[in-house]
Amino acid sequence: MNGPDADFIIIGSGPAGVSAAFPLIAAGRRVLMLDAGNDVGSRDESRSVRVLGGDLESLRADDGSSPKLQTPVSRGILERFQGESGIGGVGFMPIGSLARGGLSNIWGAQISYLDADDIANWPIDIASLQKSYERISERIGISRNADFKRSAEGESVLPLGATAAYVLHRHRVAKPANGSFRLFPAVNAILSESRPGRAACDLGSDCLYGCPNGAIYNSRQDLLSLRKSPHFRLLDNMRAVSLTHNPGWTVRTADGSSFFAPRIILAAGVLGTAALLADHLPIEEQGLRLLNSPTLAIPLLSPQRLLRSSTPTHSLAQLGLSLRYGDGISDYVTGAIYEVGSLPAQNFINRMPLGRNAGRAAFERIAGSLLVATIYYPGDQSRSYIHRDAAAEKSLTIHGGFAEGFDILAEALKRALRREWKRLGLIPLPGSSLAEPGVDAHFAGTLPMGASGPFGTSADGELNFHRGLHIVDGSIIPDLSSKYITMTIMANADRIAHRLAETEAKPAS
Amino acid sequence: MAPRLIITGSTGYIGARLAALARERGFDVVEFGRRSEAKWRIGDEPAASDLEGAAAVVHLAHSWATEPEAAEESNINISGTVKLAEAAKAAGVSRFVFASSTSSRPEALNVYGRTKFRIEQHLAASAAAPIVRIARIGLVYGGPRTAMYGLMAKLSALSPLLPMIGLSRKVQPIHLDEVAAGLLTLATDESQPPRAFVLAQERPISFAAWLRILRRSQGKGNLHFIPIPLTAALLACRMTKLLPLIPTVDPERVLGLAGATPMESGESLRLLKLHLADPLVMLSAELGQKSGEPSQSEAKALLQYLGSAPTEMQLQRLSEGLRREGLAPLGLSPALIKHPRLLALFEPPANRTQHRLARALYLADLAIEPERQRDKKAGLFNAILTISGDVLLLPLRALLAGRYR
Repeated sequence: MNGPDADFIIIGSGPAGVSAAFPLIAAGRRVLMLDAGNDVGSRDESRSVRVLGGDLESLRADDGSSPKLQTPVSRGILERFQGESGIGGVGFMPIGSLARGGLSNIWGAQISYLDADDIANWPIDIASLQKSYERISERIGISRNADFKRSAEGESVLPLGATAAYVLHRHRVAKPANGSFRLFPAVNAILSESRPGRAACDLGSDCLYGCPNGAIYNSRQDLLSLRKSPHFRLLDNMRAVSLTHNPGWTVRTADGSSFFAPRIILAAGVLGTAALLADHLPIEEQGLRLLNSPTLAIPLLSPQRLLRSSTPTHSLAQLGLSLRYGDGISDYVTGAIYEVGSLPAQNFINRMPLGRNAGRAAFERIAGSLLVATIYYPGDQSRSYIHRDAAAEKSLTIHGGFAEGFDILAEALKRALRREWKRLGLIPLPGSSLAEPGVDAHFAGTLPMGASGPFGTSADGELNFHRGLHIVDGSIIPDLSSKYITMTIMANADRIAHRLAETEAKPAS
Repeated sequence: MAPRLIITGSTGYIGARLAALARERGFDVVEFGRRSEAKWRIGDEPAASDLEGAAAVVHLAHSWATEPEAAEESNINISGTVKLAEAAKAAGVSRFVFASSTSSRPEALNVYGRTKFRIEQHLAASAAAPIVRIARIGLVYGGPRTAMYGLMAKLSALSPLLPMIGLSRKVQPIHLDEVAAGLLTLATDESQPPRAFVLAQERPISFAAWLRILRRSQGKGNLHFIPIPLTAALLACRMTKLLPLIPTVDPERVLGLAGATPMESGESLRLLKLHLADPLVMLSAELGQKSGEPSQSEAKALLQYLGSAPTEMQLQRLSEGLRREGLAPLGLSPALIKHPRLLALFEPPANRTQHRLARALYLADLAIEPERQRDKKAGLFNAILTISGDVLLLPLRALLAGRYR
């Protein structure tokens, strides 16, 4: 009989998968990574291809979702996922990726760290997570936005947009009445200084279309260094379709291949992992709970900044904010503030009751003084469930919804925010919108760490009753605060992989 | 010095193409006509100074003003052609090419055919005979969809059922480019003898078959005919003359379709080294392309409206995008395509994303995006003008936007 293909098979090449791979190969474990995508989509393409897509994917009528999801990269990725994953949505937009690099191809690159309060219900301690945060940030490279004048000592900084800087200044001068509102420069996984294989951000403002310099972190970049290790093997076009236990684990892929290893690490993303585990979980009875962050987008005008010139900056988050709305530990929203002037104009013009030429003229005049805030609620404000279709055996449907009383909460929050906007000299423009559940792609909590029963995992992400089957993606995040989750998913995957490298005896080679 | 070539009727269907071809080949083309540099009308005595030094005269002009059955001496086409040919001979021009027709016969049904025949006879008897070459041209197709060709192309594409006369008439098509090449050879090749040449397909096809080719090459299905007797057609033409307010149809046109015997063209084609292409292949390429042309020109208009000087790349992108979104053709009127600024009158607000024109303009805006310079924007004054214009025009646009919904 043939031996195992590796000590660990990692399914998925997104941020969670690569973060789990590094500690394992560093500890000398053999890792086989199965990637549903392949290497196409190299970085040396023309701007035309990046903006419109190699096959003009972008030249389609506006579908009303966020500009980020309309870029060619996103369209190609989302549509392939929707087509091949068999996951549909009712009042929910299933977002996932089968491409190399997973959802890091379309992420916002914003970095948030959870604190001890945020993980009070997790079966892990904050110190272990913090160690992993440090390792991850060292690896991917992060920068804080800063006013040039106040550039901190030695800290990696990128210029803050002029309007964002003005608003931050206002915030510092006019302190809020209570401490419930915080506004701070955003931290992003963007390089301000070049590294091997990646150039520094050139402030070219094309971030949404995928950074041609590789300044924005994408887990594809990690695959390059992983592949240098003799312990690491990456196989392309291997979409895992089933898992069988015997007593190790066999993964079958869409092309009919199968791979065997004593331990499997699932990093396929929350929806991809759920689809793979559908046969192993009693989903039929109750449906699988899915946490996601209800999202609100608010355009804001800064009249003082009208007709002023802008500072060249990247087009990802400029500022971060948080606002408490209750006494509970997780009763706060977080948000990101973008400078509209550095985002593609078309999507904004599409929402104006003006002709296109006049719309563009108006946009160009005011874009520099426009901000857009995206606000995220914690996952407990969502009520989404993954159900298995009785009719179509393999397919899943996600029913999206909000928690009871969420609309009242949303109104109260808008009121509270209006106070803060006023203090910051910002006028909220009509057109703020609450997005359909799922568009945030902050999915989590299907198989929480520490939960008992079939829908739970150990502190090491091992699925209850399934020895050797570990999950490292967002599925095992027990509760979803409103903070950006990707950094935490990566840190948690790193933490679990370190634990596995310690506890799993190194096989005699 | 470039050889001079005089062309009469140079603004016509064949003349324009011949003039372009001759210029392309390095000739110094002098156009004789009402609207050209050398003011001349058929029947006029041409100025000797205009003719001197020319290598050849190609005479394509034909006056339709002459009474159909006018006497020989008062038929301006006959006398005018002979006058021009003799003047050319006197001025030392070495070749005079006369554009005749394959319907040129003494017993032709239509006046045009009989007139052409009589001109040929008179030329042969004139002092100019040694320099005269006669080109009997078949049914010309291709190029701009004007003249008889444009009418036939339109008719054939109109409906799968067509009432038509003269269906069994044999026609010998020839492409416009081939006619122009043949005429230029006749005008410039000294080795060609002074005689009549036939510029037409060797193998005649029925007029019905020809209309079917025209229809198929425009991507449409088969064509069926309701044959109309000639007498009924002629009667209908006479009726149009009597009835007010409807366009009159010249019985001459009907008679032209009514029947003729084909002419042998093989020897002429060999002498002139013309290898005629298959009309179906030529037309499929041309008309197939033509059917994409409206959306291309619409794409151009949309891009121009958005203030872009469209590049080939942008045009291609947008045409493809419009096609995929099912927006091509939008059906913009020729006036809008010519004056894209007028689109401001028809444009719906950009937030009406279900409106076809609004969607098309969104795609046009996207198509420009890769080449857009971020820091380049309209001045404040222009912006205010554009926005206030937009707001003021809103009621009118709400009214007109429905046209392109």
